[in-house]
Formats: sequence, structure tokens, C-alpha cells
Amino acid sequence: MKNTSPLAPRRKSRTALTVFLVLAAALVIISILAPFIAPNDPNATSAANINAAPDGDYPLGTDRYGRCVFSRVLMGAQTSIFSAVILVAATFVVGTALGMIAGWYGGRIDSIIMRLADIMLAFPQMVLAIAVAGILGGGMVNAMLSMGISGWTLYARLARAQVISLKKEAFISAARLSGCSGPKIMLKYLLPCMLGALIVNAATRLGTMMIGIAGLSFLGIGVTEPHAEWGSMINQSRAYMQLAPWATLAPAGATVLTVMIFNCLGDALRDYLDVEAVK
Amino acid sequence: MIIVIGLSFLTYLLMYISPGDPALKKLNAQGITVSEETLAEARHDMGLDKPFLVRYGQWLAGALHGDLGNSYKDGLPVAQKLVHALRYTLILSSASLALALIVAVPLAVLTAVRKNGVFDYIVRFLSFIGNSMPNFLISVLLMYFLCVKLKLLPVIADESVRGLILPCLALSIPICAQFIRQFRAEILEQLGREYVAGAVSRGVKPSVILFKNVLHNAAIPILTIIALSVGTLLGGSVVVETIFRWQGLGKLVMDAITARDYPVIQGFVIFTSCVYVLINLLTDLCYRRLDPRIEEV
Amino acid sequence: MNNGSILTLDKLSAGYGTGDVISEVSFSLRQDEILCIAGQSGCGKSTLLRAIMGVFDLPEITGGSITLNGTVLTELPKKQRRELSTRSMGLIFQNPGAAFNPIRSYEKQFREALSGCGKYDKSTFNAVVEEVFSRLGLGDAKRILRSCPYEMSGGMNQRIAIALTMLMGQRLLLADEPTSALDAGIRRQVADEIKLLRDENGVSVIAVTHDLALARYIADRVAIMLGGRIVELGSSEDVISAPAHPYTRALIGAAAQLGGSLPEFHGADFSLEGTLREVASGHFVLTEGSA
Repeated sequence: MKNTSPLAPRRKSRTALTVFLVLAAALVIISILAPFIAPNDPNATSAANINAAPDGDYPLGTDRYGRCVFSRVLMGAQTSIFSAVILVAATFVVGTALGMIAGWYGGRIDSIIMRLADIMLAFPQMVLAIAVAGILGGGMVNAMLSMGISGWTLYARLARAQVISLKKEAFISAARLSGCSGPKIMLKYLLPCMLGALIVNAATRLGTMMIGIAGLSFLGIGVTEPHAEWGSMINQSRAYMQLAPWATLAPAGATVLTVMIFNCLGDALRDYLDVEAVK
Repeated sequence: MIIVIGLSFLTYLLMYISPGDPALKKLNAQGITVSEETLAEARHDMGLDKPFLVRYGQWLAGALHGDLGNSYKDGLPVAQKLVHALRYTLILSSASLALALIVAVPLAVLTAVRKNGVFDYIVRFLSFIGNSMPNFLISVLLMYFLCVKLKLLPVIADESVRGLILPCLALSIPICAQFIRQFRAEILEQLGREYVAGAVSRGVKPSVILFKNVLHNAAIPILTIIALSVGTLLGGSVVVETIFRWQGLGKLVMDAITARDYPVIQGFVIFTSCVYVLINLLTDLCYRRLDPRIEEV
Repeated sequence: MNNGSILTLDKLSAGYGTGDVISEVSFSLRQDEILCIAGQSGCGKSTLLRAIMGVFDLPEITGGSITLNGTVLTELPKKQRRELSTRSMGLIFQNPGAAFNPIRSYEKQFREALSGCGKYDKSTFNAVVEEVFSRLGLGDAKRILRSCPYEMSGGMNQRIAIALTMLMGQRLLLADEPTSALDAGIRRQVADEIKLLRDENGVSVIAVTHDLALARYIADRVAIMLGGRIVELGSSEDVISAPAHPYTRALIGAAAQLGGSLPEFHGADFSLEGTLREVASGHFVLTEGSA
């Protein structure tokens, strides 16, 4: 209905945004402080405590090498959250820059960049990531590279479309006439106009990226042992699920919880800034 | 077409710069004792001593004729292996997609029509959880509860229908959750359009408005969502097939990755992108049937 | 005041759950009369129409009553109210064609509408449609029926909507800005069609508009709305030529300069307290103080 007050939902979405921002910030802080909170050395094995049930020393039990599950989940938070955040940030910057260049200069540069994006998009992201990670071999950097290889296209397409429509605006022509150089106009005038839409899209991608990296690690082509990462922890412990379900359930719960918070944050941000996210 | 070739070039390039010597891998895979001579000979046989672009050109020429080379591991033609595995992936993916649609469409309609009711909240909450769960996690949990705890189903999928249940569930739950959310939004969007108000004011029966008008119009964006989900489905099937040992494309490529069987990986990339492009073409054709406006553009 | 009236509103208030958008609106509409309600956007004109129609979840009626041909609509159970409303009242929208599904043929949509009120008869359908279309000068009925609304021009869609009202035999047409989204050339045609509907079929019309030229052209009586209330009501002659309320005067003065359309005023500029009082025969003006 047109006549409903536009203020009411706005206020509601601000509360939601605050809540999820606080939760996400808490997650990041926990992951930063992980080495100090962890009760045990996450990589210390103990032959005496293999697959031990949760108790005072090991709040979430131990895994098949007798490592503290709780400590590993905490350290895994660092890996999982940081890799997702860095990945999104990197693809965001690269994609936006390429998209803006393509949109601003047009011509051959535009067609090269956008053709490249089309190639990446002709393929399901996860399948491409698996193929690329498989070829490059394991490791966190490779996993991030393989997710990022198609991740940037989203921002590039978005930024390009925005630049092309903004280019016609009077204030951009004015800036151009007053002698501003292309890069300066892009950074000073264009970027602020489209940042909202881009950031919302980046935020909604956080959860997806986390799932992606965890998926690669689960398959053994992402972050590998002994490095703690939730996906690989779940994969390593699933064979022992009957003996030590906690070793699987703890990282599983952590993954779901984190992805949920990031997804909520993305939605809340979208509602607050009132921009459509690209599906 | 250009897109498929571009992609193949890229993966070929990646393999070229990736660490490891394919000839050495091949010999290792075949269990041959490696010496300098055999290695050099194998390199020559495989054409690895030629420059990169020549090799790529040869491969591409073959690929255009349906020859994707032979597997390093067992020497079988890659194309044959892919076609064989495709059957399994098709069975699994179509079953999962069908299951997801059967569940998601009625739920999306119900939640959209009874927006903000108790049922709507429950379904939205569940679909939100489903949306936040990676499918490897769902697979592991399903396996644990249904196979280990309740002993209802076999852990490793055989070709029977019983074997299909778990991988199918694992693959369809996240997609179903996503469908419910997106379909609901599309239906709500259509319900908010003025033509619905117009039809209501003309006294058109609610069932006619919903089924003949709203759902028909929502079918167009919904089709896009389904087409896009094929990508998720293919990605998810790699994970699910590996976990449940379902002999599809995903399992094939994971085995190839472990064995560094590059021709198979390369073939998989080309094969999948062709499937994907084909599906997009099909979607375009469907649009034309559903929306008369598209022909005009 | 009730004699010969088809519709009577008595102190009708309605809103969207966050306070009333229209408050204490009273008037009555005579058989085959055209009433134009004018006012700037946001004054509650469209809400008033939707409240009278009463088939939507919103707006919600918070007080007063609506009487249609002796039946108090506001006392009816929801289902009966809907049935009666859709049978006797037709609603046309500002955005021409938006009232129809853009990608469904008119034939199917006409059939659905007629079936809804039990007037669909397969054997006579084509003949009846052709008859109505030719009376309105709409041209090839068969071709129009086969087409979808998206293929038609705005004016054509609006005229088809009016034709459907005729087909459905509705006695009261509620028109929400029927001409404001149309090109100047076709406005006249649509306005004439509304008049024709009244002249030939005896249909009563409430047209909401911000176009005073339209009001002068088609209306028998004009009501001016501000801030959800009627501030002045009378014959179009009286209200437009001899406005009594300061807001009406301001509107008409400004509209003369701007060429027909209404400028924006703030509700706070004018007092909305008081009651409607008859200053001359049939000419009511909102005046401060109680009656």
C-alpha cells in the first residue's frame, strides 16, 4: 500500500541491522581472540584422550587424534571467517574496479573484461571452483583463488551497469567539463553513488563464500590438515561419528550459526539500505 | 560457443602452469617404474614436448570432433567416461530437482497467500535454516541420523531406489529451501500488482486469480530461478556424489582430481559448461512460450 | 437527501491501521449522477474509492457507514459485501491497463470477470461483447478480445475497462484518475465514454481526479478533499465558479495559472476543524465551530 508510513519498517530494519551487526562483530572478535580463548593447544594430540566425550578439560570433547574440539572450532573460526571476509573484500575491490573501468571507458577494454566475465558466468561457480582448486591443489590461498575466479563477475557487472547509467547524469558531465580526469571522477563521484548496492551484494555473498570454502575443504581441496577449518574438520571426523559425534557436530553447528548470522546481516543491510540484491 | 572455448583455454592454461608433471603422474598412475628414459618417452607420446599453444590447438581440434583425449589413469576415452557418468548425475539431479519443486511450489503458494500467518513463519524459518546449511553438512547429518542411528538406509548408495534416497535428499534440501524463499517472493510480487486488485474488484474467483493469472505470470521469473539452480545442483552433486559414492560426474571429477587425471578434469569442465549453456537455451525457449511480450523485443 | 440516491456515505472514516486517512466523509450520490472528487495527491481520494469498493483487505473502515441502494454495506459480512460490491460497482484505475493482467488475453479475462458475477453465457458472449464494443465505437471486437493488454495503448485499455463495466451491468463506476495518465488527445474520448455510460445506461459515477478541467467537463457535482476530509461540496458550477472554502479558492486560483492541474498545498495551511454547512442550496462548505 502506498499510504503506509515509510518510517515504521525503516525503524524496524535498523534494529535488525544493529542486532546482526553486533552478532557478526562478536564472531569476528571471537575469531581474532581465538588463540587466547582456546583452552588447549588446537594442534596438540593426545594418545590418552582419543575421541573423548566432553568434560571439564575438553568442553566439546576430543577428536580421533585426541585434539581439543573446542579449541579447534575456535581456531577454525579464524580460518573460515577471515577467508570468507578477505575473499569477499578482494573480489569486491577487483570486480568493482574492473566493472567501473569497463563501464567508463567502454570500447575494447569493456568487451575484453565483460567477455571474461561471461566466460566465468557460463559455469556454475562451485563447479568451476572445484575444478580450479582440484587443478591447483589444496591450500587456503588456492581455495580462495578458485572461489574468487568467478566471484568478481557479480560486482563487475553491477558496477558497469551503474557507471553506464550514471555517466549520462548531468553532474558527471559537469565534473568532466570542469576538467576532472576519468579516474578522479570514478573515485570521487561515481563510487559513492553505487557503493550501497555493491555493499549489500557483498554482504549477502559472505555466507555463500563461507559455504563454498568449507565445501572445498570438506572435499579435501581447500584448507588441509593440520590447519583447523570447519569443513575439513567435518570431513575428517565424519568416519568416527558413531564414536565421537561431538567432533562433527561442533564444527557443523558453528558453520550453520555463522552462515545464518552472515545471511541475516546481508538481508538486514538490504532492507535497511532498501536496494535490491542480485539473485 | 566462444564462451565454452574461452573456458577450456583457461582451464588448459591452469593445468599448464599447475605444479607437477603430467607424464610423471601418468606413469605413476599406471604403476610403471619411472626412469629418465621412460619419462622422456612418455612426454613425447603425450605431446608434452610441444609448445603450449600447439598442444591446446590439438586438444581443441579433437574436442570439436567429440574427442576429449584419453584418461591418464585407465586409458579410456574421456568422452565415454563422461557420458557414462552423466547418466547417473542426470538421475540424481533430476530426482532432486523434482523433489525440491514438488515440495517448494505448494509451500511457496501457501505461505504467500497466507502471508505472516503461523504457517508462513514456520516454513520461512525452516527454509532459512535449510538455506544456511552447506549440503555436505546435510549429507553428513542425514547419514548419521538415518543410517547410523536409525539404520534405515544403506550408507553407500547403490543403484537402487533406496540408494538414491539419501543423496537425493541431501541435494534437494538446500535447493528446496532456496526455492521456497525465492518463489514466495515472486508470488508476493505478483499478488501486489494492480491487475490482481483489478481482478478482485471485478469479482473474479480467487482460485482463478491465483492459478490462472498470478502463478502463470510468476512462472517466468520462477523459471529463471530454476535455470540458475542447475548450477547449484551441479556443484552440489560433486559433494553429494563423493560422500555417497554415487558414480556420477561429480564423483568422476573428484577421483580425477585425486589422481591428477587432467584430461578428465578438462573434459568435465567442457562437458558441464555445454550442459549449462544448453539449459540456458532451453530456458529462453520456455520464456517465449510463457510471455508473449518477449517475441516483440 | 436520501431520495433517489444510489449511494450514501455517512461519516465514513478509514485508514491503513496507522491512523485514519479519510475521516468523517459524508455525501450521497444520486442515480445517474457524476460526482468528481478533486484534491491534491495524498488527500485520501483513492483511499475513499477503495473504502467504498470494500473488496480489499485495506483500507479498513474505522467508522461510519456506506449504504448502497438501501443496503448498509458496512454491516454486511465480508463475503456478501464482496459479492454485492463486485456486482454493482466497477473500479477503474489511473494506470490504464494495470487493472488487467498484461499477458493474458482480454477474452479470457472478460470471461473470468463475467463468470465471477454469474453473467457468462458461452453462446451469447461474442454477440454481447460485440454489441457493447460497437456502441462505444471500440472497433473490431474479435481482434481486441484476442489481444493482451500489453499490446494496447493506454487509452484503449481504459476504454476497454469501461466497456467491461457496461458488460457486467454495474450500476456505479468508481474511477481513480481515469484520464491523468493518458495523452491529451485521448482524454476527451475517455471522458465522453464515461458520460455515455451515464447517459445511456444510467450508471452513476464517482471520479477521483486532480484535473479540474475534467471535473468541469463531466461532473454534475464536485467535492474538494483536503487532508482526508471534504472541505467543499456542491454543483460543479457553484464550486468551480463561486468557491467558498479558502482552500478551494486557492486551488482554483492556482490551477487557472498552471493550466488545469492542481498545485501542492500543505494541510496545515488550512483549518480542518468544524463541520460541513450548507451555505447555499446544495452547496456545502466546511466551517469552523459546531453546527
